[in-house]
Amino acid sequence: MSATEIVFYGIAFVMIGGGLGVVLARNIVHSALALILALGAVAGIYVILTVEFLALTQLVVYGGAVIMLVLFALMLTRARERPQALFGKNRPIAFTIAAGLLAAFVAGIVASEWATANPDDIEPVPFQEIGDVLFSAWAVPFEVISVVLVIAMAGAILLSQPDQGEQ
Amino acid sequence: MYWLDHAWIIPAIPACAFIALFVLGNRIPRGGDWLSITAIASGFVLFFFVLEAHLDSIQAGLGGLSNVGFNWLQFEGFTLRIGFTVDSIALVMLGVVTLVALLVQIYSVAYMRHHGKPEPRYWWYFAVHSLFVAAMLALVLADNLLFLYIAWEGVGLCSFLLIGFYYEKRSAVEAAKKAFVTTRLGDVGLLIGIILLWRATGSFQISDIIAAAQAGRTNDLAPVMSDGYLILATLMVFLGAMGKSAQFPFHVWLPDAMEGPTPVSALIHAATMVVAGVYLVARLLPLFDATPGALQVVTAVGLTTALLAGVLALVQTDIKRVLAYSTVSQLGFMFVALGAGAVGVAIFHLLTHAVFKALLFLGSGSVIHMTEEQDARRLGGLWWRMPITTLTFAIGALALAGIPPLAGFFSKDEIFVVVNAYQSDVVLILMGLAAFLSALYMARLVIITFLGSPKDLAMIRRAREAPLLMVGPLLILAVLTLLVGFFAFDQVGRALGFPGGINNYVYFPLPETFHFDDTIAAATGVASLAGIGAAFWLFWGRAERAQRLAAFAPPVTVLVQNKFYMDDLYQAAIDRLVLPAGRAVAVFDRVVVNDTGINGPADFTRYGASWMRYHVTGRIPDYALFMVLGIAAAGALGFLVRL
Amino acid sequence: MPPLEHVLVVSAILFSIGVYGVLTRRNAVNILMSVELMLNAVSINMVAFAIYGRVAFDNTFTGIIFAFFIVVVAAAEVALALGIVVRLFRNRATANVDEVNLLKW
Repeated sequence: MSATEIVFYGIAFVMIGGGLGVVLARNIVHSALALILALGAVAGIYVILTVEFLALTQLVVYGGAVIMLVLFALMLTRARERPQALFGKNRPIAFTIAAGLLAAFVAGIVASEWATANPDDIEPVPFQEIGDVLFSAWAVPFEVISVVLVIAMAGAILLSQPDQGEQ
Repeated sequence: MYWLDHAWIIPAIPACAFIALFVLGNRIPRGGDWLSITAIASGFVLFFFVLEAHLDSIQAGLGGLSNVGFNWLQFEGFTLRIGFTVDSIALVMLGVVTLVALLVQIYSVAYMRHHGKPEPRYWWYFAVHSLFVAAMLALVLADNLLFLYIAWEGVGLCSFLLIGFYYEKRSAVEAAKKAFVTTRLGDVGLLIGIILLWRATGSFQISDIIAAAQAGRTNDLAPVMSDGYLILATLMVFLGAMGKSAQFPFHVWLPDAMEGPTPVSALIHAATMVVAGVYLVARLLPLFDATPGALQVVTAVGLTTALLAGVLALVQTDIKRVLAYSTVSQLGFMFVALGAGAVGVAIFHLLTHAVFKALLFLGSGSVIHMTEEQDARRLGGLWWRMPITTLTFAIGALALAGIPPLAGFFSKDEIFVVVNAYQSDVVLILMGLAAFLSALYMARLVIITFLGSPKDLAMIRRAREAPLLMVGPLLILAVLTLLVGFFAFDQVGRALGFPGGINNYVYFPLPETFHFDDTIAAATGVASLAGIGAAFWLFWGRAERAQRLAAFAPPVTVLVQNKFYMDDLYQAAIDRLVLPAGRAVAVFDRVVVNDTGINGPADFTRYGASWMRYHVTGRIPDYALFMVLGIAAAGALGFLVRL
Repeated sequence: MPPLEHVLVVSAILFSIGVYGVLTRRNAVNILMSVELMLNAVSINMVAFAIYGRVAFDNTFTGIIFAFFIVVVAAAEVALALGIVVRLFRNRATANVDEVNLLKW
């Protein structure tokens, strides 16, 4: 077991712990903080998989923007001031489904023959090559996704505006 | 040669005019009559360009034919082509349609007004007129049967719309319906015939079909169609021609079609649309010629119609209905000419008939417009109040009667010559009888409408000569009636730049010269004069002799006055056969199709939904749960399939 | 480096946790967080396939690009969804999805 692998399992452990925190925490703000932990761990896994570029994007977009938005939404909905049941009534069936899904995934992963390289032969992915590909072969989808972003922004602004006659 | 390949522009202009009128309607100043007239006038001018290019091409030895077009729809083994062909037959029709349409539209400007005020739906009248002209010209120029059929239905639609123009009147609505349904009987035959020919030859092109029909009959190629198949297909096509041209037993719709405005009767139901059947047969004559027995059927139908309609015209009192029966009768003459295989003769009679029958209808229109009376029994003595109308009407009537040297004399004489040459003497004698009848009924119409003493003083006080816009077209047509017959002579044709007279210009399969036959000309002239004399003898004054003749054989009189009970026969067939069958189909439709087939699933859905909707909570967690369950199930299924 | 299967299993665990969260949580914001977990699990999968299959499948970056696009779409989605939640709270005075039953006929 190499050092990389040890670090990977550590990060995976942190990530799963964060995820459990998101879905199980009694306080929603704690959920949000656990989400930061989980998403940061995902960035760590990207680093292990040698895609530092994605790790940085992950940290900036999720750790910065998305978490900020989530916290603001929590503040605006004053969720903390209203003590109440945090879980719906579907818990047993939801647990069954989630466990079943996990079992199916693991069974599928184990049963499949993966045509992959030897893990030790993998080379790091250079930043520059990703950039080249992104702005040549994927230029049009890139432009489209920026349009999507703009539309989403406009939609969000529209949604948060007060109704006619509303103060 | 440019215009030879661009004849399609002529129908395109009125089509554009129609679209403009349809979209803008009454918002165009003056209801858009000027737009429609300009469109058709430009078509008339362009006709001369096309004619000149055509004659140049003949002179240069290129045959004067043109065929342009494009494929509109293309499927496996099926092509809908919009193609235009120009040849001598098409050019004659082109000239007739554009000229008569132009004159009739100018005439309509005055006719469709009362005391200077346009009638309601004035714009719609001109819009449909434009559409009609476009469809008729497309029909004339079509180079394949499918496109021809589309145009064919287009003119039928316009006919329907214009017969029912005064749709406040119940009789007009009934007449429009009758015309549409009756011609529909023939049109279904035409469509079946086209499909049969297409099935055998794989083409809608007229030239391909004719070549396929001739294969193995007039040449040594392997035959494409068996005799029985060809006979069936050709007779189906002829059924369409019979319906459109109001041939026995489909003649019943045309007299009723007189419910439309009179200029419409002149244009559509005398000069152009009703001759579409003649035109179709003329264009497909090689097909009919190759089909065993087809020409005999054409002759028999034409002869029956010519005689029958001639008899019926004698007892009609409505001036327009007399003219309608006379149209039917003259169309029968054309079919007899076609049955003898003489395209040039049939087209010549078509040309002259279009001119003098349009003249007669427009003349009767001016009587109707000025006196607001169309029952000949209450007219009479109009000649001194409406001299120009009377004179032009008389010229048209004499032309129709076949008095030399008017147009009808030459064309009718030609028909007798070819009948004499190619048919038996019985046909010739019966045709002579029909010619006698046409002289008789036309003279009778003139006598009881214009001559004699007035029968209604209030009417005669109302009567004035028609305004210039109406009299002008009458005079133009009268002059043409005097002149157009001379087109039969080769010398006249050559002087005008044609390769000869009409028989030398329009022909199949070999050019013929005008064969004037002294004996026949004398015989027909005598027959016409005898008809006119008999009319004067019978109908002059109070028509006592005619009444005595009617009283001589009452059963015959009753039979003729009831139009040989043809209408009652149709009515009985509709009542006894069509309506019960329709009721049976309606029951089937209501019970099986509607109640079970359509309402059944709808009821099932409604009752199912009224039960299901209590299980729809509207809560997101439930939806999310079922969504995940569904995705998991789909994934599991995929997993199982893969294993 | 860890074997591919291990990475996949870790992402599958994260995904299942997200599913559980989406199905059980009442607060709309919390459900969104769970959705983010699921999206990230998918992204990890994409990247893992891209990295481990890079040699075998002719040096393609498609998986990485996809992960990148997922991040962007997720950002857009969060912006809109949170706007909806705020709106919902303003109109209904609750952010709990099971107290709202608008999604029906």
